Amino acid sequence: MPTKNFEQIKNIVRFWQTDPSVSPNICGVHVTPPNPGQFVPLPENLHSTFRNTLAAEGIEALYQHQWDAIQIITQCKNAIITTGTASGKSLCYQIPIIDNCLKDEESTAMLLFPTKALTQDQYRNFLRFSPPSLHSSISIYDGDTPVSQRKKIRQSARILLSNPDMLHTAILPHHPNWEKLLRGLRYFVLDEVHLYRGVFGSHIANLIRRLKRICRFYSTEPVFILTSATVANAREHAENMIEEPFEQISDSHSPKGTKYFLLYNPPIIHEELGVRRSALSEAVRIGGDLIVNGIQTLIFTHTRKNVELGIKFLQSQNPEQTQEIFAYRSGYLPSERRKIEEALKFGKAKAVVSTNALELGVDIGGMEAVIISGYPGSIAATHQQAGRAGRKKQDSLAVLVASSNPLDQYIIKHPEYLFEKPPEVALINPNNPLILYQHIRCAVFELPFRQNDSFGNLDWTAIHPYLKVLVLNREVFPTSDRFIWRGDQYPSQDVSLRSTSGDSFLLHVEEDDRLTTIGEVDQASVDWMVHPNAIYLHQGQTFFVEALELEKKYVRLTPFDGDYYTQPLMEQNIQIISEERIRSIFGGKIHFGEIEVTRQLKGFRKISWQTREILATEDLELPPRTLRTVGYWIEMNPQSIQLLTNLNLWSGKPNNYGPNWDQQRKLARQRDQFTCQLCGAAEKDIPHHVHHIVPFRQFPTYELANRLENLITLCPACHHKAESVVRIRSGLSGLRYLISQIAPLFVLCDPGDLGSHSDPQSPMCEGNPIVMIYDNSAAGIGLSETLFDKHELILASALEVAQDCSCLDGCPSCVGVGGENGTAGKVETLAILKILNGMPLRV
Amino acid sequence: MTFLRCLHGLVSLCRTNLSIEDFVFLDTETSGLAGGAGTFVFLVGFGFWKNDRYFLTQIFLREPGEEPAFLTGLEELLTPYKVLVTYNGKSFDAPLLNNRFILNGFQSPLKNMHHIDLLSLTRRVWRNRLDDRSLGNLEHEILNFGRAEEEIPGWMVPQIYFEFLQTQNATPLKGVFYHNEVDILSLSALFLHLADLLRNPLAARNPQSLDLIAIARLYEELGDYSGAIQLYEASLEIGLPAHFFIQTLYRFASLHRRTGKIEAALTLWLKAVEYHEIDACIEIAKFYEHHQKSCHQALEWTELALGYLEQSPLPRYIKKQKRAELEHRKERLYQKLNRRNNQVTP
Repeated sequence: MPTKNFEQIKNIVRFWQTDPSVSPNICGVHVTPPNPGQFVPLPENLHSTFRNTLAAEGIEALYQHQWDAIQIITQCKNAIITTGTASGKSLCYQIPIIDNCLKDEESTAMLLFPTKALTQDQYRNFLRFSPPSLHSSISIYDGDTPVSQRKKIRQSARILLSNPDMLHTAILPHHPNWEKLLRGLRYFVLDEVHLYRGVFGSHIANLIRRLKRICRFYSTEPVFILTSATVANAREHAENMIEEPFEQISDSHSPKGTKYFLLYNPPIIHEELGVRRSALSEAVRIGGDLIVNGIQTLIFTHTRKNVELGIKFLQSQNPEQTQEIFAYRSGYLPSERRKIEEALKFGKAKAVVSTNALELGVDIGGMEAVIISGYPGSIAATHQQAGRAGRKKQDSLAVLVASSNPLDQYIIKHPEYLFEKPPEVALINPNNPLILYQHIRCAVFELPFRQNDSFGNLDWTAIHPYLKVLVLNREVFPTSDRFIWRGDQYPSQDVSLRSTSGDSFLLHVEEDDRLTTIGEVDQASVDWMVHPNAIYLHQGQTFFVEALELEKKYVRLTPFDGDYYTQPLMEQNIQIISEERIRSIFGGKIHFGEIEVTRQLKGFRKISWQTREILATEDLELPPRTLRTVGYWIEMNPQSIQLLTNLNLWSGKPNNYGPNWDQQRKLARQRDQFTCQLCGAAEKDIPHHVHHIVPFRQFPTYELANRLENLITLCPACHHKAESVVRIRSGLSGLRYLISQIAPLFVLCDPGDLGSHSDPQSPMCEGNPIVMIYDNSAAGIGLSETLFDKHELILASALEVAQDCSCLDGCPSCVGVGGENGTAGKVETLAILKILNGMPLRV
Repeated sequence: MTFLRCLHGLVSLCRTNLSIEDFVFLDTETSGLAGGAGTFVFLVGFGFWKNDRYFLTQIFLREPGEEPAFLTGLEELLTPYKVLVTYNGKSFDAPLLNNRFILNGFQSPLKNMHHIDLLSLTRRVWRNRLDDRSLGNLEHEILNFGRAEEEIPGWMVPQIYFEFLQTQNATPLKGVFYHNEVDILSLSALFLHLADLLRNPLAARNPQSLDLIAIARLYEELGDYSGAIQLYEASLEIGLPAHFFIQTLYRFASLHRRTGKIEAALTLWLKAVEYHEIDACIEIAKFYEHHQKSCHQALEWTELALGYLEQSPLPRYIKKQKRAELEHRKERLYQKLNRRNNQVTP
């Protein structure tokens, strides 16, 4: 049986390479040779009981990298472990922690995990590996811990598993209750630190400063052990976060079979338009080949909706195996998720369609194959998802299936971008004034500040001004020798480490007079996922949304067996509330001020499962969601546009399709019998679109562009697909892409912490073109104001990046990419950048 | 459960010949109401008896920098006492004081003392009568006295203290000292009142039947069944509102059953049946089935229960569940009857 498995992956890859329906779509095969692994015996000096427990669990040797990590840790040096998925990272800290707790009765450890699921997983492992005498000292302390158990845990826990939010609101503000744990604190573990970047990471870094301050009070100096997925600067990230030197363990010595990484581009289904089959249906199709051969397969896709569509397709394709095919995503109840994780681990699940919820380190064992439907958006996430494939020494397979998205098409044609470029960097800025201010507030509550105290690597002169502001706000009181808290509330109660609201809506299903809860939806997704009359999918089953109770925070569903699903229609609008700063620059002005981003669900479409045609569009009246924040925007003046237009370097104007357009459009629809020429859908109430096969802009006159031979009737959905193939990007959107790529480097945040917007004729600036970057959190944390101050630097560096990039017409690292048959507008972006940098334009 | 352990502790304490002079009554005023590491105690008041006289001492933190001295003083003052009495002190005053001792690098002296928190006891004794069991309301309802004009509400205390730190004007603090003083006086009075009440509830001038059944339950939990019986009887005699009357019949009957006086229990259940009580019918059915070995009688009582169930105003889902249980009982009794009949005629 195992030998058969060994050959299976190789055979299937060979089969695909000869199968005429698959082989033309394979654009690249990246083979990682097998690694026999390097084993070393367990350290000599382990506690004997512990050694026996490990032996009983079948652990008699370690991988070399685990041994190295344990050496570093036991020498009291901080370690960051970045070896890949399934390389046994956890054992690197579990061994020294358990061993130390057995040898030294006072010694304790604290471990923080980003999710409750991971905490549970780790708890089970700690119990497995530690001798029974230690079991009562190992505890989880999180939001789910019953109040009746908390006191006992505070008094007796020696290995505490928790999360950053708990440390922030429950442990540090009540640190005297944790005296025993804190006085013995030898090891502190922070898991998955690649997640702690940008604003979130800056909060965590300050939380660590607070922790270390409290540790100093109890005379402890824990060793920090961090783990991380691939990021370009893991060690530097650890050192920024903890403000101490770190040793990195990055080379994995766990045994690995041969790993095949295939790049797959779905076939073109319409030659003239260049439209390709969807990534999801191709992922399901080739997934079918794997399932038929009994190969356990995990399919990753971007959205929760796609997970549900994927499982529906997959189940109807493999009707005999429906019971062994599952969907996995956030929003399912924890019990259901645990069930699927177990099914994966013990091989009961043959295939699972998942969002990146399974990308994190929950132990599901190694998959034999992973299919990634659509580029996940970053090199690191791609490797993380592909890393789920690989079971001990068996061969494994990962397939990246590209969507028609320009970025995917770029990656699939430039595999070196994926395999040779370093992954993304993780950036944090613990000294962001607003974040720092919040944590100094929390810190005063935890211990008064005395003159010449420090906070992390900040000395008294750096923190004293913050204390003075807190005194003015009457939250802190200065006594003769210290600053003490005087507010009435816990300061940590109104400081959220995460920008997202923790509220979620429960999903209730009404059936046969019974009400069951099947899952939940986070606040941010409620509007578009479970608006009234929406079709909601759960494990491939469809439900109809009867009511969305915004006040009571629940959704009422009923089972539904109609033949359509729904697609929300969102509208986003940005308004300036007040302009606080303005400055002239070359070619225009820059602004800083308060803005409001409004997102509103205007309605939804009903789409047929069979034909994908739009059956109807309905309006909805839901309250808009607004984000009041701050932004920085660049406005170009009319002279610059004139200059660009004269040189034919400005394509920001909307197309004017000429006086014969209405006539030609009608003729084209008549010729095509009012039927979509791609999917065959007939026109209903709303007229179909008419598409220019060769883009309008590429013709010198409208008469030429609007010839009937160049026109084709398409339904809106197919039109969207066809457009993305020939997308021609303007120089302005190239500029927006480039600035949002490099801006995080200047304010040390994560790209997700900033939002961006561009408009060639913005009503916000008297119809002039603008590019706007804004803080993506309520009220903002000052990122865009710093960008405003650093404008010249950013623009100079943007020009440098675009000029130095060796790509011909745009790539993900500079101005972004255009459609597969379109253009990215790099030349235009370069021209705009020269004007904004005050440089002469030469053509 | 924890409460019971406390209560047992309290009872055994009282048997170890403690005198009233071993008790100290304590209340604190703090810099904030939230608790946690950032809240500190600036005023501790405590009452105690010495040579048959009652004393009240308050110690005050005039400047946060003097906290170590303040706590040292507090520790010394607490040394002579064995039992600490507070109101809500288990969740507020004691943890807060412990925090302060830890934060100043001391061992907390509170850990060596027995601690009686009257809040949990008052909750039990006046569970049927008072919804608001704050010390202020108990003063008003039970101890029958009110506060003078100097009284300031507890939520204003932190603000007044910080005003004092800033201005060094101590006049507004007068209200805080008064508030603390009266809290300790009420606490001490409440303790004496409770001690009398628990020792001999029937000796009270005007015994309240609702309090008596609450205390009976306490006695029951402590294993003093004869005391409980006496109180249940007295309260039924005085009279109870309908809901509590039925509840007491059941409790009392169940106590009789547990102590083997099944006939006495039967009398009480029969009284409850007058109120169309379904559960009482079930109890009686059980009695006939198991004690009298009469399945016929048991069946009749089960039928009666089913009849009452139809008329009862219970929510539908509970009715459904009860009906299923009763039908099951009926079924089982029929089977038993049949088996017995078969055995008689082989």
